[in-house]
Amino acid sequence: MLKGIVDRFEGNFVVIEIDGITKDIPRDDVDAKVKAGDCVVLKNGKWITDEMETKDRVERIKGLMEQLWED
Amino acid sequence: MEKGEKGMKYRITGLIWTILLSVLIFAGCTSAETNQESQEHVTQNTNQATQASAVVETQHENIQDNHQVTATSQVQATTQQNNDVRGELQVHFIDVGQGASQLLIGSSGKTILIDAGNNIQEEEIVAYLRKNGIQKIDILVGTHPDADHIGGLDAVIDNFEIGKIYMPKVQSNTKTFEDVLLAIQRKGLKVSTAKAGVTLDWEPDAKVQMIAPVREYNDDNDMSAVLKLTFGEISFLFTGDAESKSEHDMINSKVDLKSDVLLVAHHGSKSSTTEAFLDAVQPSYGVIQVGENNYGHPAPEILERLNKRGVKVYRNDLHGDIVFVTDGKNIKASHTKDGKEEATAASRTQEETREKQGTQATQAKETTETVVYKNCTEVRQAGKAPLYRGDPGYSRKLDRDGDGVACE
Repeated sequence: MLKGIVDRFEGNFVVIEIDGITKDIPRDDVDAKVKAGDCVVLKNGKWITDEMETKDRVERIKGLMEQLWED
Repeated sequence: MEKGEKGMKYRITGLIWTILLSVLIFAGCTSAETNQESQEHVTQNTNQATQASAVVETQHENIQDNHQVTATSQVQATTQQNNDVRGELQVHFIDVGQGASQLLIGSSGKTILIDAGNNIQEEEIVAYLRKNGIQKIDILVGTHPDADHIGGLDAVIDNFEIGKIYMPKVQSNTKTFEDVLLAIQRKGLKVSTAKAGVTLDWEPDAKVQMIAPVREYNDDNDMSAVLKLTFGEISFLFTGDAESKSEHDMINSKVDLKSDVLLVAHHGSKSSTTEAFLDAVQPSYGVIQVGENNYGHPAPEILERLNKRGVKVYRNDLHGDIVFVTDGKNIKASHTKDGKEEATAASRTQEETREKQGTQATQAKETTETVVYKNCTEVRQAGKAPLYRGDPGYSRKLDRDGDGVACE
């Protein structure tokens, strides 16, 4: 199953990072509930949020940031 | 008596003539001196200009399509000498396609790198810095965590000595952002929060202030670190992807926004560069860091807004790498591509892009369909080798040397 992480929204496109490379995906192909930062999967032609994976990833990056920021 | 009076008259007339003549001679001399002085001044300026242009040309001798310096102007014609400024300062708006990256080189060679384009351009950024003789980035700024701004930061951190790092405390969950954090961790470095009110400790003859983000915003773009650089009488404003909300708050923060060179925010998107912001900045030059894109950057209304105000616009898609050199009083711009030739090509490309958009959307769908090859033998059997990054079925697993081409 194709996976990605939403980087940002630009005009009519959702920029999704797949395998470390960003791709412009038309908004119509992305579920309306998807937000920037979501881990997404492609199911039946539509990108939808993977809640579990998103939660894990948020925690992981948050932990890294807490270690690195000095203020 | 008559004789005496007559003699007196002659003497007075003589005296008046003498005074008049002296005044005339004196004035003549002074004006001649002034002319000479101003001529010397002009010669000096020309020399400085020639030197600056030599610097720029040396920098670009390795870059293809080197074109001559196209813009020379005295932005501020005040004669007041700023004694604090020594030598020259350079600002590079590096052509990273649809992304952003600016390199600042101070008068004693200290550097600031603001953003580093997309992940796929990271090798180009490293090469550009090396070509310019950079060994250390004294201050590294990631304006905000979008992939088209921070993509190459990990490669820069891996390849150069790094001083201080500033980024807004904004989370992104992409691998691109994680890679930057891991590179920082590997080097044992720390990150300082980028926000309004921070003054950067850089060259003694340059002032670098962070003037945004003024507060917290929900939108990552508005969280962009915005920097103002002042060198003598010349100033630059680096805006990241700050949008109208942040612009509004910068104006209200009463910071002096007036700048000679404005990096037009968010690649010329219509959500930035409001009339009120332009009123406050009053730029002579605008730079748009833009490449081929699906987003309609730069927006025609923003180009029109800049054009109406007589702002001279440079764009990476038309002009290649754009470099400004300033001695604190004069400013010169040079670039590596001829904008005129490219302008027609670009408008053609834009039309093609618009036509292609439908097709691209279909293509995007195609690439999102699951194509998985077990190994390169399977790719070859399918007649698809070599696979390029972005092709259906391309994966890092198949691209062992990680150069973006799999099953070569």
